Amino acid sequence: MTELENETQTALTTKGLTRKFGAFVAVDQVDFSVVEGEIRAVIGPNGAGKTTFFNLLTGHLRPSDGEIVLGREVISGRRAHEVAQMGMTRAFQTTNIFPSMTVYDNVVTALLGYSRRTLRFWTRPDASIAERAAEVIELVGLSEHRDRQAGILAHGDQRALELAMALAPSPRILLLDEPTSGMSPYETQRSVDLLKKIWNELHLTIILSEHDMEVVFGLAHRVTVLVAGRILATGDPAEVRANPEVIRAYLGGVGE
Amino acid sequence: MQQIDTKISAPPLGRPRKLSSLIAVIALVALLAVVPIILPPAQEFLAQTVLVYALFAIATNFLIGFSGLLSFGQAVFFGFGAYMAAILWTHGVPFWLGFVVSPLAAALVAGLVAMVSLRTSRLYFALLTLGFSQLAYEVASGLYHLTGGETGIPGISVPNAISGVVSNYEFILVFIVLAVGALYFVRRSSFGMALSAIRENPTRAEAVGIHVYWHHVVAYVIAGLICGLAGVLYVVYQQQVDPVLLNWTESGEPVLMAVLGGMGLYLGPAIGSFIYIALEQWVGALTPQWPLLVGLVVLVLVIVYPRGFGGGIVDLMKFVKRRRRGIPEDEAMRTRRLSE
Repeated sequence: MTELENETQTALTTKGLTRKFGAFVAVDQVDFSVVEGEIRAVIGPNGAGKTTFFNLLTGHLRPSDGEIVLGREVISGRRAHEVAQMGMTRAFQTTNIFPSMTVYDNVVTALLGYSRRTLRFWTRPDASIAERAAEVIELVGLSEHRDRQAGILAHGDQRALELAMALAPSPRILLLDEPTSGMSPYETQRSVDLLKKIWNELHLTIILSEHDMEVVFGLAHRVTVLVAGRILATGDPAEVRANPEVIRAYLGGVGE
Repeated sequence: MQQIDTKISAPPLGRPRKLSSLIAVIALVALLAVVPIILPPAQEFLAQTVLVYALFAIATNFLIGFSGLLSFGQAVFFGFGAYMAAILWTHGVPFWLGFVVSPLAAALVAGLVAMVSLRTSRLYFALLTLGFSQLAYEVASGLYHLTGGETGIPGISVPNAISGVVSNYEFILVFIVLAVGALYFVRRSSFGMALSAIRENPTRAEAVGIHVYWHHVVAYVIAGLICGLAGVLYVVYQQQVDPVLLNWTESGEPVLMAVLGGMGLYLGPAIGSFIYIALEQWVGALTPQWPLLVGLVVLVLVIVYPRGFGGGIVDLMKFVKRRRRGIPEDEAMRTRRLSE
């Protein structure tokens, strides 16, 4: 993995980001910052608030308090489709595709959505969309499945398709919620290799949550540890691995 | 935009248009066009009913089967289009003006209904559309000075050019073919792809930048426009309206037609319209309890063969073709069978 070259440009920040469900505070005063081209892992035990945090970033949930800034634009309170159009795309924790469409139509539909071209009532997607869809399908290694129905693909291929849909518009930030969950060791390795390849080619800003520490420490430039909705620590993988508080709260239990 | 270096060439968009499909469509339209020459005048009225309700059912299925919106209130727009045209024409408004304005007004009403109803969840949406249907019925029954109350508006005249038996039929057929063709292209457009995506997975659709609510509102307006047009065409051949057109039972008819003919097939609801009206005529002549038979057929279809009669015809044709050529079952068929 190539090291981060440019640490000056902030891609995304949150200030005091909070989400309450009744009396329960799922995300509590989170100050978070990612620089352009960084791969940031967000780790933490189950129920730490990782998915809620992702849902807040992508507009699937509205924050109870705090602010989210994408580049220089405040996006807190924006709806999910607006955040996606602004260049922050995501893959979900459970596979989330259009199962009865073909692989190709899945990616084409994603491209139409991101580029706000879905309110065209007479025309089919144009050649630029077709070309881009073919490129992304090739990038994630699904060319041979291009015309197959997405719902009948193997789990790993469905995750690759979801990645293709998130990558299609060349996003500013890619969020991956547990990208290797439910995968076999072989599929996990393939997925990690694919993410490395994508990052080496595109130098995308990626934020991922993950339970598999091999994946986290093999991919991430920096790691943020979330426990009970609060940030416990942020640092490079070696720092985080050595942090006694992190070991006590989370890592101590991993692999035992 | 970051560029990826790749040598793969872009695939062709959509399926290549099959000449055989085009020929089949032209043959079907030609066959429908000669119906008034073949059939006696009494049967022709029935054929017009089948055509108008086919359009009504196809537009309703555009919402239910294609967009995943369970609307039980399409009679509001069918009836609104019919009443609007009837009122305008009986008040001296030129025919073409009434013909154009009435479906547009129905579409406007559909937009307002959609903006209110689509703010709720699936079940409440269905119930609200049902409620609007009943509301429209009560309004039409109550506004006696404008709508004629329970009696409705009888004796609406149409221009001489289309008052003949054959010309009236052909006029209706032209607009039905145009509307069915236009809706077909909308389904295949970028907008149609987005609607399919929303039906399949609204969360994912939103995450790829599709505004689910507004796409549904627009789909509802398009269906309202076509239902309104069907209502206007109803007046063109029936030359009368009554409040039953707006009743919630009237909203159920296109849904039953779609289920009978097959919701997964574009022209399935048209086949359903034919079956429904045939049952109404032939079984209805024997017993007033004919809706019981419709209910039974729908029940059996939903449980045993949800692809309906239209889907059955398509599957049968594919089966015969495969047997003749000795080709094994294809992947798509197998998947569909497993999912069903």
